[in-house]
Amino acid sequence: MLVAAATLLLIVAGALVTSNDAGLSVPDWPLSYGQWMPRMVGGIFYEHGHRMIATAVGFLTIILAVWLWRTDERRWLRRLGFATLGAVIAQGILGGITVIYLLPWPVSVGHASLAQLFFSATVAIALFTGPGWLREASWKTTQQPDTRPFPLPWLALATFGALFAQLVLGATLRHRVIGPVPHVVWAVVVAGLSFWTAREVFNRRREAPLRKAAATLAGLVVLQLALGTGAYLARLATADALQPMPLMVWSTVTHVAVGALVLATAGVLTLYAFRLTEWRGAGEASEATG
Amino acid sequence: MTLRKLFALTTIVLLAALAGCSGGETETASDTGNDSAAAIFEVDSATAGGVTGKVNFSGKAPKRRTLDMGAEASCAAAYDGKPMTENYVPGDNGTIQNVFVYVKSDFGGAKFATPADAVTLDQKDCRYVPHVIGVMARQTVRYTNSDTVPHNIHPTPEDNREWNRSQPGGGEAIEKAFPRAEMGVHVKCNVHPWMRSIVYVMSHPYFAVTGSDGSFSIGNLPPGEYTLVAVHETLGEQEMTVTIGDSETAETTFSFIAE
Repeated sequence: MLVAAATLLLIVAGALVTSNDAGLSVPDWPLSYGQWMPRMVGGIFYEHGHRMIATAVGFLTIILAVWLWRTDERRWLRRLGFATLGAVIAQGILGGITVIYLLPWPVSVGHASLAQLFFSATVAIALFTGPGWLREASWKTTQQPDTRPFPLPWLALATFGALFAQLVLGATLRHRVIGPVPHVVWAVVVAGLSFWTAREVFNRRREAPLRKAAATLAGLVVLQLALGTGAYLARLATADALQPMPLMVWSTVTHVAVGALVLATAGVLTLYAFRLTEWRGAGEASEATG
Repeated sequence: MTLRKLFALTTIVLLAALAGCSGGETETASDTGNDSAAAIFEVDSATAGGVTGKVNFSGKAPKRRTLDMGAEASCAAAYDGKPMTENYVPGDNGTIQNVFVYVKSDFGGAKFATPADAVTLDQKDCRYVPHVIGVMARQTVRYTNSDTVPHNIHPTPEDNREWNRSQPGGGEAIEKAFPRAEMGVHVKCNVHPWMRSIVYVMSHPYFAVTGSDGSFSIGNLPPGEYTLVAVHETLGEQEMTVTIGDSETAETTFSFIAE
């Protein structure tokens, strides 16, 4: 959970870098102006601050991966720990490439998108190592069958995938590759999928973890739609400003941070859906979800 | 495919992509807007003339915002009040500063000698000075930092190579050129986001920027009829036709009017 919280803070820091147009305020990497600690002024405050938080997240991820390897008997979880370690290393390299090669948009969008996946992975690990998930025996007997052509787990997974696509569109919009229309149009699709998934949970399922995740997802999506509208209006209102204005910066940063929470929540809902639904044979289902 | 093979393939693809990318700042000699086979444009000094004039403004002035230099205390301290944006800077007697005036012509594809003198773009009191400059393609731009704080010079051209370099306060000048003509290259500082300059890179030497008196002067033009263009970052563009006789200096006036 500490790694997840630190990662959310890192996403906020990264969003501040982009919104303050500070991505190239430190022209060298991995040092900053040839130092480990430069003057923290102007754009350097955001860029180097982001690097410092990223370093902390990197170290925490190393500790997490080693801790899982040493203490958890679930091989798939140990592998997930090392996968997140690989992801955070890749994030560092992508961040360096964006600086050295002057923000090539595929790398910048990749850096932003991987950050979101990494955050969702850390939340998932927190879920897997939590006391609720580990009560396997009781869950085996309470899995609900779902024999519909499109069972809840797959609906939840599709929602997660659509949300991730929306985040990628958002990153592409932020880096001025596309206009706002694709991101706005896909927001409608994503909202529809999210509310449909939440409705399926509330209509057909009684398990508390599922209903809590569905309610959180629905609430966050409503909030995110409002934040997205606000961020867009703030950008229009400050379009002729020479420097990034606080209204535009904070509305956009909040929109990015809540986007990460939405994705992670959809991930949690998906994991619970697979865990608590008998959509294949009973033995296969419990084995797949550990 | 095993995990090991997948990792190796991914690494190879990444390395190949990096090798294909070039973030360097070097420009090759062939990257130029001037065709080396083109004839040199010759001006007969006995008949050459020019054009002078002013750029006036009337109506509702564009809104200027105050700049927040709080991120750098020494920058803010350099000003008595709040510094203002330079999107519109009035000149004397109803004129406008920072208007780029140029002759719109390719002169039959002729080649012009690149001036040996550099044009200086300074960073002073956390602003680029001047706000607007005109240079020829391949002419040296000399970036200096008269402040005590470091800046980060970052031109963002479309048709030239982008670059980004830090410069310590009072540090050694950085000299670079834009090989290709390009209208309106924005130069910014990523450390201090309010800093902005506009560089017009031309293929010929017939251009000027209005100063505090709103005037411009373009000389050494052969007699003939020319299209003269005035460009302002907020007020837009205006064109007019100017006829220059033998050894004549035509006078003209641009008038930007805002409702």
